[in-house]
Amino acid sequence: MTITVPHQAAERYALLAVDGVEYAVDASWVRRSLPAPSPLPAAVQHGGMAYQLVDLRQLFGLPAGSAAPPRAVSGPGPERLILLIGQPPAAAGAAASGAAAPGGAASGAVAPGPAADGAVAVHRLALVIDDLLGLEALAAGAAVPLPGVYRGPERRWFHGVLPRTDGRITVLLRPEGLAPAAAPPPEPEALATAAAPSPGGTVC
Amino acid sequence: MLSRRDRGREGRQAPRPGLLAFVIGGRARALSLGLVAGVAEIGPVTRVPAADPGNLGLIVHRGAVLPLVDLGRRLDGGADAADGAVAADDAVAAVEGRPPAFCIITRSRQAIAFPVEAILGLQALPALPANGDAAASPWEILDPLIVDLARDQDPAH
Repeated sequence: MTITVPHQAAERYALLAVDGVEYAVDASWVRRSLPAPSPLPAAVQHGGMAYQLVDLRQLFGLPAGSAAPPRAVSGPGPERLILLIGQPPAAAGAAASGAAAPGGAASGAVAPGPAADGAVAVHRLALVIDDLLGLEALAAGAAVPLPGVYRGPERRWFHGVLPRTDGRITVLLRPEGLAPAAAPPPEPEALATAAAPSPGGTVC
Repeated sequence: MLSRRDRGREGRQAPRPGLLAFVIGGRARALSLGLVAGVAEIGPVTRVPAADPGNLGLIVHRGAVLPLVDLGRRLDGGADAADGAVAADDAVAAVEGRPPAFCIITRSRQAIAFPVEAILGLQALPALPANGDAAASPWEILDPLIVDLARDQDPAH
């Protein structure tokens, strides 16, 4: 008897760090990265478009300085980065037709370029981050929603979390929820509710 | 050889462990074993930003993502123990000031983990007085809090 394991499509994500936590954003949203100027402006101009600045440390209520150790001793200094993200045209079109993909982001790579301006709100943000960790294919289908004890604005910021094989957890950003006046995520939760964990363990 | 019924009678005569006792906030607390899925060392904690400071982050336990919840904060706001809390004994005093190394994982549809400063071990259910006064227990029993927490985070609730 053969057991077929469902294939989990891997999508490319940009991995970034804020306060020692690893976050991922759908790579189709990413336009470019650049050093964060000081002081931070209210918006960043790129390709004739204005990207609203969102300092993730500030948004998440984290201290301005990092208590977490740098990712690499020989890596970049205390300078932070700006990641320009914009809603990919495919996602904007799907949203306009009322058939947005789960999570609001289209699958697959979308060529960088000006986001489509239409009847729907187009999200263009300049995220201030601590570090850009790379680009990686993630099996986002294995992600799970935030546990129910998380009831605050964090439900707007994150699609869910992805447990990795090495034991770490990557938090999946919900780009359209990061703008200051972002709408709450659609109900039901974008990610399918995972089966309840059945943790084991040995009782002492 | 005892029949199954006889063995049951034997078992009822001796006190059977029904609680897992532990220390939170320098106080002895306990949880019914039926609500305990396990005890684990606290590994890496992913500090997911949250409005509620009682949400300490997420841990991975046997492949499942669990929220790590600060029960001490929910019990008494992280300050001195609430009315009715149990006075610290020697075992409790010995662990005060140490960072939690273990967490208890609840057995519920939506499991949670909460850190404890020490595990005191399995205990027999206390013999309550006829009026059912739970304050007579040597530990503060957290069953109602855990049941409420599990219900609160159940998406069907």
